[in-house]
Amino acid sequence: MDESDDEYIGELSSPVKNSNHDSRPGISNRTRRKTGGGDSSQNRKLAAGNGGGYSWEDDYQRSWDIVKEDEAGSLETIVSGLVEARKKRYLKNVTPFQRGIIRTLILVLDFSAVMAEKDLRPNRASLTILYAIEFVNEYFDQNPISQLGIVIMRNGLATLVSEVSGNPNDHIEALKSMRRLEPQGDPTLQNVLEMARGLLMHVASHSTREVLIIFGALLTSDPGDVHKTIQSLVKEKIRVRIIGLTAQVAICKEICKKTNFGDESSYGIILNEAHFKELLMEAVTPVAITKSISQQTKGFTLVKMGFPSRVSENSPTFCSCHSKLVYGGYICPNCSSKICSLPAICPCCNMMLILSTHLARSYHHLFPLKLFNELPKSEQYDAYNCFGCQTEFPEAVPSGNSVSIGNVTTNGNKSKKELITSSRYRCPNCHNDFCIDCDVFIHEILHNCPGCESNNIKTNLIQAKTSDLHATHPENNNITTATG
Amino acid sequence: MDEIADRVFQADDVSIAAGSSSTLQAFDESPSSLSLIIDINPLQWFRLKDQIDLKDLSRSICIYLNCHLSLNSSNKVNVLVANNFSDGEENGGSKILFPSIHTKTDEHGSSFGNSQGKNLVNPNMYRQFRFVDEIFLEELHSILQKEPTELNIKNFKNTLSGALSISLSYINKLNLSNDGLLKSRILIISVTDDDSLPYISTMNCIFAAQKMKVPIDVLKLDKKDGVNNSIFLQQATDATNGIFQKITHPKGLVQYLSTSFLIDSNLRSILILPTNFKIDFRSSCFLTKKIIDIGYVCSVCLCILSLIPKNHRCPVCDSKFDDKVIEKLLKKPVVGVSNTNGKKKRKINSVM
Repeated sequence: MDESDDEYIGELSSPVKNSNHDSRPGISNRTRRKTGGGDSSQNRKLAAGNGGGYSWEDDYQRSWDIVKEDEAGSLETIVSGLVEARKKRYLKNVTPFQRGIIRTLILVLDFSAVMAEKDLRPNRASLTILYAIEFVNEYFDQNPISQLGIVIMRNGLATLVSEVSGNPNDHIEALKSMRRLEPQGDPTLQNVLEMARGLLMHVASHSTREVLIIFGALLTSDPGDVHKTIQSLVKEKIRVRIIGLTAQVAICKEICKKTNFGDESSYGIILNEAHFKELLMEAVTPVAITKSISQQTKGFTLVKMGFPSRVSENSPTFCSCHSKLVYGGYICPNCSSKICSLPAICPCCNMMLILSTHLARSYHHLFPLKLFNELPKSEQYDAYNCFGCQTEFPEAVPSGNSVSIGNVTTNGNKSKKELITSSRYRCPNCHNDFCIDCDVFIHEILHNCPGCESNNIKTNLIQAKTSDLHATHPENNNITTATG
Repeated sequence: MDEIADRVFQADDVSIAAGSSSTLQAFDESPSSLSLIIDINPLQWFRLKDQIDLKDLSRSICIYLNCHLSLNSSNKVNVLVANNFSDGEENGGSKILFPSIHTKTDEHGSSFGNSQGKNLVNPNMYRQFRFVDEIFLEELHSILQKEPTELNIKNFKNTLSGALSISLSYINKLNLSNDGLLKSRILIISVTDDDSLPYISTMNCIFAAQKMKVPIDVLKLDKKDGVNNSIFLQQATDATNGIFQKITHPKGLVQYLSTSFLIDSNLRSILILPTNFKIDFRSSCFLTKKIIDIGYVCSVCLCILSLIPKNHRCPVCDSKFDDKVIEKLLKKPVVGVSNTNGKKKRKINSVM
């Protein structure tokens, strides 16, 4: 097994290589312990030093083994620990960056022979399609005025599956029809990047140009020099994000680094299914505009958009987008043609048609809600109930347990252990306390603080928020980079 | 290989279908939760004083809440108020009335409610009903007691979005503890127009409700000749599959509540409910507040403008716009034969 592994790394060092996919051994020799950093040889050493750290050599992990009782025989500690761990995930960076809200993204799926591997259940290709459908839904939910296109690599060719468009249903239909397709042949990075470049060529300057590749293989079969393609990608400001399903590949790392201004964080390797989804969902949030980009641009664009009105009709009429008979729809304010769904680009006058609600959907990316602060442990708290859900908070435990006698002492100790945290999270603006569930809900889904909204002393929210944006970018050059 | 994958997907589809049919059967049995938000803006209530007052409303609401509770023994209610005034302390703003924080301890004890409440509600009423009604009336009473007598514009803000946010987080918690078995919906009884409603936060609430599949119903009390001006709330009902109903004869409020708003959200597809086809989706300009159907949108902050700012800078985020783009936008279409009206502002350029 070691031999084949060595051979494989050797193959990797020269990234552009025509490979014969019949020599499969390397493909299955993959480590699950991989993290984003460190090249594959380092990782292999690390894994080997770890007492053969391949996942198939590990003991079987039972989920119930994680839960262990503390000395007092209570599960409270571990449970609250697990709850806290969940909370940690939502401590994202909330500085209001300037973001490329209007996006055009090409989703590239690997459909080469390696995708038939069954290390992800039921197999890699099926899971990728399943997650891709979820991604498309989430992408259009959070970026309603953005566009998406889907390309697959199969048999050494890049194939367009779904044209660049703003309609999620088209993409989902296309993805569903791919379920019958069998993964075959070699993957090809160059072909796919060139195709993405072609698709993104005509995209308006106000839109970001992004490519998201789900790459299962460890090789790429390219017709020419992939480095030249990378150069042209950099020139055209196309940003590439890659999710590796197997192990880190040097050329992928290079592509990500070069197209993201030296930032390697856009190349991720999955650890397991959940991590795969997490990496994929990271791509839903619009990318922050970096300093270097904003310095290059002369100015930002103003986009002319139409806000159509909805009509309902008693008899069906033809829509201009699909030439189908439909009841009702939206009338383009510019040319009065009928469109059946929004957002769309009017097929008649080429104007972007949206609803104002679509714009409002993207606002939370621009004006993120401030993170709540965890209250320090104390003997007394002001609030007894969560401001959001009205659930009672756990009561404060007095630190001096002088009254305790006999078995009461152990009880006292136990309850002290239970309260590792104060379980109260306070909004920095309105000073209301929230429980952990509400905190997560407010930051993940709601995006506004019930306390601040309920308090009518506060100034108008829109005013306050726009002044925030002022503060973060008074000048175009002053915009901070994504990494801070 | 492919067959295996396919089977998995088919199984998936089947399970989804099975799931939906099982929920179909469970329709009439599954409990539901109702969040009621009452707008108690005193100025607007004063405007409606000839038609209805808060007393009439609370009477109808008590009946409505009791109706909802009687449909299923595990049905839940919670009641909030959105108040436009506050004294700067903890009073005012939006508040949850039921379940009340103050009377929490009484829930298990027998001595819930004070003498005041007993006067308002018949003591022989079914305990469940009496409990809800008493607390609701008491809390409402205590809030109205604290209402300032003088108008202070500084302390004036529509807090409906706050009340919506609280009820959504309440519903979220309910869903977490009930594994999503509880169907929730929100009913807003509104008397105020939308002008004072904060746009972004209201929209955020609408999207959250949409995501959680919580329908928002709106009952708008208005004068007969009142101009319907609740665009946001109409959009809210449209986005969440709720019902928007404007009521100009509030005397029959109980009937409206029990016919349109009592039915569980699952059963709505079976019934013919008041619908609203004319929903204004147009947007207003950030600068002039004019309602527009074609506008310019800043690509940085997504603000909507009805005209191109003179200094070529975004008035909201201060981004400098590209001169070339502006020039392109200002360019009028080229028409072969010139119009004799002479209304064209710019001469036709040969640029193209």
